[in-house]
Amino acid sequence: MEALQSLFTKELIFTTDDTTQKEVFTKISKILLERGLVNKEFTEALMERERHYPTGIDLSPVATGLPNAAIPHTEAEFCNGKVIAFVKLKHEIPFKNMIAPDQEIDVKYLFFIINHEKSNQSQVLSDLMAIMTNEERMRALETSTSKDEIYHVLKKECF
Amino acid sequence: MINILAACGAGVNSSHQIKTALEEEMKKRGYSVKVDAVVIKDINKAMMEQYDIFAPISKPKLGFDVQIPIVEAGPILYRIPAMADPVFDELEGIIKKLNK
Repeated sequence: MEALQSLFTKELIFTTDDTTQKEVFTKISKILLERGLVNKEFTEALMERERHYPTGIDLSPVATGLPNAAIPHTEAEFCNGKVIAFVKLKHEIPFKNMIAPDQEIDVKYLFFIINHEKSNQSQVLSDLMAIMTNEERMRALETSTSKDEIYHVLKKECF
Repeated sequence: MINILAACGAGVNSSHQIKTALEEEMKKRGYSVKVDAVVIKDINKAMMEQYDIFAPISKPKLGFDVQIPIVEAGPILYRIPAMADPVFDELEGIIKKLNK
């Protein structure tokens, strides 16, 4: 968990008012590209992968009334570093459910996983799952509005 | 020995997580299983024929009919019993029926 939480940085926490997947994917990819964390092909690869293997995570099994999340990511070859960019959307955006792709869910939190390491990827996912399935932490994210507050909630050791 | 093929969409290696979870839980329940983890796009008909059970993250479109039992294993990724247990139970039921 500690290793995962070190992947969050204040500079990669955003609150945006985007209304489509394309808008927010393009916006975040552009910032990541400027920082040298991904390559030029990243945006297209990210969107392509989301079309074929969607990443929406339905959090209703965790607790009722919890906003849903998504974990957009793509293959290691498009990434130059290991970070997680977090976005709290002002308006929920529909995503297809990762474990039931014919289902659509409204998503409020995006965890963009950028990882250039081909191995060790599954640890990132399982640690991220631990964050998303922690009701108290997700409730705290709901009430956090500033970058500082969100950063603190994501970094906090336990809830 | 029951051979299981776990599969996901590549990127964060969720099939490896499915593999570990299935192997651990089935061992606990007294079954001997071997799970291989692959990405969905690498699967073909000949590969599928080597296995007893297919455990993808969600039901994929493969372009051919799968002749072996399918257990959708995605809920395991939540790592919460209410989600994972029905998957384990379904898998156990199939293993019993295979009676190998």
